[in-house]
Amino acid sequence: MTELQRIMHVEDDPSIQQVAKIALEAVGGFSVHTCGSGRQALTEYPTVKPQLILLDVMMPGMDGPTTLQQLQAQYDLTKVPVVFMTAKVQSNEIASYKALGAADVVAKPFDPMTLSNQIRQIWLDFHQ
Amino acid sequence: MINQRVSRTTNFISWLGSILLLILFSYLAWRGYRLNPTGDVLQRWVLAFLASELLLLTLLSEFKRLIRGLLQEVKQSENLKRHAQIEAGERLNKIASQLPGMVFQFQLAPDGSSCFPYCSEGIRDIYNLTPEQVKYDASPVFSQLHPDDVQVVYDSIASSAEQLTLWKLEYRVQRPDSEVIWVSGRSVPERQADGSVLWYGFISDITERKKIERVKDEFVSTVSHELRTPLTAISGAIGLLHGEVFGPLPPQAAQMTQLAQANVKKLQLLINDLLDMDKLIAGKMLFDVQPQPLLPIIETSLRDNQSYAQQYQVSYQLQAVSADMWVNVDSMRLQQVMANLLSNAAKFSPPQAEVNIIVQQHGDKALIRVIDSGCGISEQFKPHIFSKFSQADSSDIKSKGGTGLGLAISKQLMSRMQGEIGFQSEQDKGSEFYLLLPLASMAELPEADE
Repeated sequence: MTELQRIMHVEDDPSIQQVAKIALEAVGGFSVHTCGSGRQALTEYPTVKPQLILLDVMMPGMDGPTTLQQLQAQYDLTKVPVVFMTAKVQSNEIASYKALGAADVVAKPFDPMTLSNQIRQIWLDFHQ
Repeated sequence: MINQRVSRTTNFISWLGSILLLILFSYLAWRGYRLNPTGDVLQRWVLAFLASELLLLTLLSEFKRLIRGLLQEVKQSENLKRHAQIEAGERLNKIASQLPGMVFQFQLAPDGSSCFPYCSEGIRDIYNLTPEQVKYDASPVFSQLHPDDVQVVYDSIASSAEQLTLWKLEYRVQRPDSEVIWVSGRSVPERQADGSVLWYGFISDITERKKIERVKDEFVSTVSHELRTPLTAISGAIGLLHGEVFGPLPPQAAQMTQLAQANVKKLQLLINDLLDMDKLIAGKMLFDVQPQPLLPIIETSLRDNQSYAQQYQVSYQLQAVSADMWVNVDSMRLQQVMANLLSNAAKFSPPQAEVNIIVQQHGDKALIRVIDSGCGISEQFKPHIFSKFSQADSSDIKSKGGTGLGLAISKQLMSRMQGEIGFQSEQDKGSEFYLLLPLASMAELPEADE
C-alpha cells in the first residue's frame, strides 16, 4: 500500500479551503489541491490524480453527492477513497453518504490539529 | 307540561266518578231487590239490567275518553321530541358553523360502503362539497384525496376501525381546481349494533401551518449551515494558531487563542443544542438504538469530559457496582446526556471536589447516578429544571455558561430511548442526577462467538 500524499479538497468556502489546506499540509505533511466547485473537481481530476478526495456536501451548483456520482461515472474511483466533510452528521445522513460510495464522513467544524490523523486513518481503513 | 297534568287529573276524576256510579247502581239494584224481595223476578231483573246498562255506558264513555287522552299525550310527546331534535340540530349547526373546519359523523358499513350521516357546512371549505352530497355516499370525499396520500388515509381508517382507536391523520386534499391543501383529521370510532363503525370528529385546514413549518425547517437548515460554515473556519484558524503551526506564540497570545477557542466551542455547543432541540420537537432526530454494554459508554463519557472537569479542578470517580449490564440505547445520544450531567456536576462543584458516578442494577433497569457536592438546587427551581432555557439564576448563563437547554434535551433523549431521568437535591449540600434504562433482554443480546 502506498503512502497517502495527494489530496483533492473540494470546498466552495475560501476560508475553510485555507484552514483545511494548512491543517493538512502543515500538520499532516500532505499535498493538497483545492477545487472551489464540483465542476472544477471533475475537470481537474485527471491532471491532479488525487489519492483521496475530501468533498464538501453543500455546495452551490453541483453539490457533493452529485459531484461524487459524476466522478464515479467518469473515472475509476475504486482505489480513491472519497470523504465527505459536512455539518450534517445524523446517523441516517452518514448512512446515505456511505450508500453513495463515500469511504467516511468528517464532521464540521473539524479540529485542524487532528484532521490529518483522521484522514490518514480513513486511508488505512480503506486499503485494509 | 301543565296541560299534561290537567289531562291526568281530569282522567282521574272521571275514573273516580265511574267507580262511584258503579257503587251507586249496584246499591240501587240491591235496594230494588231488598225493597221488593217478594216481587216478581221480572221486576228484579229489569232493575238489575237498568243498573248494569247504565254502568256499561258510563264505563264505555270513560274508556273512550281515556284512550283519546292517551293518544293525545303520545302525539304531544312525539311533537315535543321532534321539536327538541330540530332545536338540537339547529344548535349543532350554529356551533359547527363557527368552527374552523368540518365537524362530521363518518360511517363505514361492513360491506365497505361509507357515508357522512352528519356533516357541517365546513365541508364546503375543505372538499368544496355540500353535506347532502356525502350524506349517503362518501366517495366524493375520497376521490379528492391527493394520490400520494390515498393509501395512507385508507390504511389509517381501516386500522382505527379494526382496533377502535382514535383516528388522527394529516394528509393532502387535491381539490377539483387542482389546488392542494393540507388537512388534519381527528375522530373517535364507535362500533354500532349493525356491525358498522361510526366516527365522530373534525377535519381542519392546516395549509398555513404547513407553510410556516416548511419556512421554519428551511430557516433552521439555513442557520445550521450558514452559522456552522464560518464557525468551521474560525475554529480551524484559531486551532492552527493555538496549535503553534506557524511557530510558538508569546504567552499572552497563546492565552488569547485559548480564550477564543473556548468561546468558539461554547458557540458550537449553543448551535448544536438549538438544532437538537428543534429536531427533537419536530420528531426529526433519528436514533440508532442497539443492544450494547453500558459500562464502555459511561467510561467513554468520563474520558471525553475529563478535561472539562479539570477546568473546574473537579475529578470524576467511577464506581461500577454492576459491570456487565446491556442496554438498548443510541450510544452517541447516551453520551450526550452523560456529557450534560457530568459538565453540570463539574461546574456546580467546589474546586477539589469529587463527582461520583455509580453504575448499578435497579430491578430490571440499569441505574446511572451522578452525584456532586455542589450548591444544590433550590426548591423554587426544582419544578423548572427540565424546562427549556431554564437556569436557576439568569446570571448562571454568564457565570457558568450553557444554554439552559441541556437538561431539557437530556429528558427528551432519555424518553426517546425508553429511559428516565430524575434528580434529588438539597440546597448547599449537592445534587444527584440519575438515569434509568431498561436492560436489554437476553433475546436481544448478540450470540457469543464460538
